[in-house]
Amino acid sequence: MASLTEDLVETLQAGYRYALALTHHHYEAEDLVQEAWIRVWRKYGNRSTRALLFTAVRNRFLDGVRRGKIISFSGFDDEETSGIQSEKNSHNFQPGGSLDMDILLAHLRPDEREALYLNIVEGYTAKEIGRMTRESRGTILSRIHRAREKLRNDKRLRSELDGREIIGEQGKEKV
Amino acid sequence: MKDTIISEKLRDYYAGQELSNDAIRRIHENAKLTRPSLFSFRPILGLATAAVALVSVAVFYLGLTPGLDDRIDSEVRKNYAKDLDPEVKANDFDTLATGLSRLGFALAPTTSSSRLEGWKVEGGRYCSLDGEFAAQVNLTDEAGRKSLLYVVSLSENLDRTDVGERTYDDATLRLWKDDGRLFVQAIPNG
Repeated sequence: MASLTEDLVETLQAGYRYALALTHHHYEAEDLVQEAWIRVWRKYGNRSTRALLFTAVRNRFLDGVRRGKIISFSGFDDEETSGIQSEKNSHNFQPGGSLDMDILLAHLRPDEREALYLNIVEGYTAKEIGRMTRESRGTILSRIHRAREKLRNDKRLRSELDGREIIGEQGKEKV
Repeated sequence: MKDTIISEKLRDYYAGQELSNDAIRRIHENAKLTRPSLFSFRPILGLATAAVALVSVAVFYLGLTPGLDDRIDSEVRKNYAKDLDPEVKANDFDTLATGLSRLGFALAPTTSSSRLEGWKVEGGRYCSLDGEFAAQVNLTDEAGRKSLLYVVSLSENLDRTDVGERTYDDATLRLWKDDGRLFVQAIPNG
């Protein structure tokens, strides 16, 4: 990585994680950050920033959803279909990190994952996220709240997680 | 799961998600292969334009660019030196004005005819002075000396010209305003 600066690597990694929050799919996220970075770099060159990359990632993601290229998220704002799509996501996801969180996050809508990611991981406030997504602070707050509620109250997942914790503790399969 | 645990797990989860070095390099190399758009240089272009404008204004005010008087004097002297024959021959201003009917203004002085005393009209031609439509009038005196008179309607720009007499090596220029027109006469020195 001699030719790549630390800042640039960190920017691309952050862009990838954000894309992952939106798509919850490793390969789609990589494609997304690739397309977005090409656009940002072409336009701003060395002045490219993380914020510009995030904007481009989001725009490319929404374009993909509109064109049906990103099939998983055609219901970005559709509560009815999000569960089914999330199921697809969980199958498509390339495991690599915590499987518990993979499953949990797959049950969230993309906009919920996005809000959680930007708030909890990136540290943006609801107001700042609202500016990025052109939505009100109240909408973002309720989205974060809803996402947390889902994670807290998903009994099926909780029991699965509890089971895994027991496996970890007992070192044997739960029957 | 409590909120703090959720947050902690989320951070841990995303911290563990990263592209390989090869993938990062490939993404950036692909981006570098695309040609930067002109838009990417917009701030630089903007600064460059501003700098050029600033320098231009500075140069103008410092007098490094010829001022209006210099431009007029230079143009009149140059054409005086050419000593071109008139395209329309006439013995007085009224006849000449008829021959140069597209001028849109009179040629004969109204309030300053005395300034041209001793000079006789030989003819004239269309021309321009600092971008304004003008007439060149060929004059001679009794001694046979030649003079060139410019007559031009006073535009806002030309109205800023300093009137009076300015002497150069090759000629003396006399400038005056008369009834909405600028008269510039080049006469031989001495």
